[in-house]
Amino acid sequence: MLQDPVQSNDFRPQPAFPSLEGRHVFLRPVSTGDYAGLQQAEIQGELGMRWRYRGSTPSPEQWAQGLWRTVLAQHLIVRRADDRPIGLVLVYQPDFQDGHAQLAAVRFDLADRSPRMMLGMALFLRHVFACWSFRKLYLEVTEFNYEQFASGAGRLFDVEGRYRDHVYFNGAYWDQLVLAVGRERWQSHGEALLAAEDLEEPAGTTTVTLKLPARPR
Amino acid sequence: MIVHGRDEAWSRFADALAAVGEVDRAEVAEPARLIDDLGLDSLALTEVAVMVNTVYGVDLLEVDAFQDWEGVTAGDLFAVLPVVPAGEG
Repeated sequence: MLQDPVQSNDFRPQPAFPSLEGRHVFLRPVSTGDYAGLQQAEIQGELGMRWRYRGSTPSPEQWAQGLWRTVLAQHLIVRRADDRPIGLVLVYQPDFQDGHAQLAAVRFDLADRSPRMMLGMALFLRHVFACWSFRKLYLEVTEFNYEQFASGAGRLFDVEGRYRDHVYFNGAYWDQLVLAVGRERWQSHGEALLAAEDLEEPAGTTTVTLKLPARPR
Repeated sequence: MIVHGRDEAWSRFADALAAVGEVDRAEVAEPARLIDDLGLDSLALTEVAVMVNTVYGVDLLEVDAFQDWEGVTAGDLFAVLPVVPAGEG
């Protein structure tokens, strides 16, 4: 006979909900108030050539539609010291049947080598693997962007594919790499990046424990 | 309390830096620039910052000198560390 866990008071322990708040950065979903700044960041300067529009300038309407196309979750990485967004990270094209999705990330200031962007990505990966049962996340990256995190190959991710001479830029064709971040690999190697990032209590939150009365028998 | 001389403290730090950054230990000298000389990428710099925080208890991201990592040397990092790693004092 099945036992009613409520009546028996045999509660399962609460799951650990990973925080989107870190000591140095936090994640927040993109809102319409972010559109103007995001659009400018995406289509101007060097980033406008490296990132998804690669030099083209979509109309504001096209840009806004493109921002959310097939997106499952999308967050700004915000520097805690001054609340300034430093990057964008998203998971899109989820395939729930086969257990994978696409991952993308961009740092707005290309000259900024601070670890904050990577810490933000780590918070996001932990969030994605906690919320969905994906086995792995694919990240497509052009050869000239890969050098920013190539040291993680074989530890944090695997290089699973390479389109040779796939991307044209500035008189040359560049390889496009397909990287895969597997759940186990992330949990065994990646979560260590957050060892010193977690707050004891997320800022602005209070832990409240509710004890429900027993159901009348 | 374990007391380390400066040379021993440097040697221990350089060992850790070489291991985390996956670089040849012989290349880790105090004047070596993390990015330009040791070739650390953004991910490796993050791992170094995490190592320094967990082993030495120093949060490099809160140190003004390390807001921009361009040109930062191994010696610059060592200069802000306690001689004794956290937990050994």
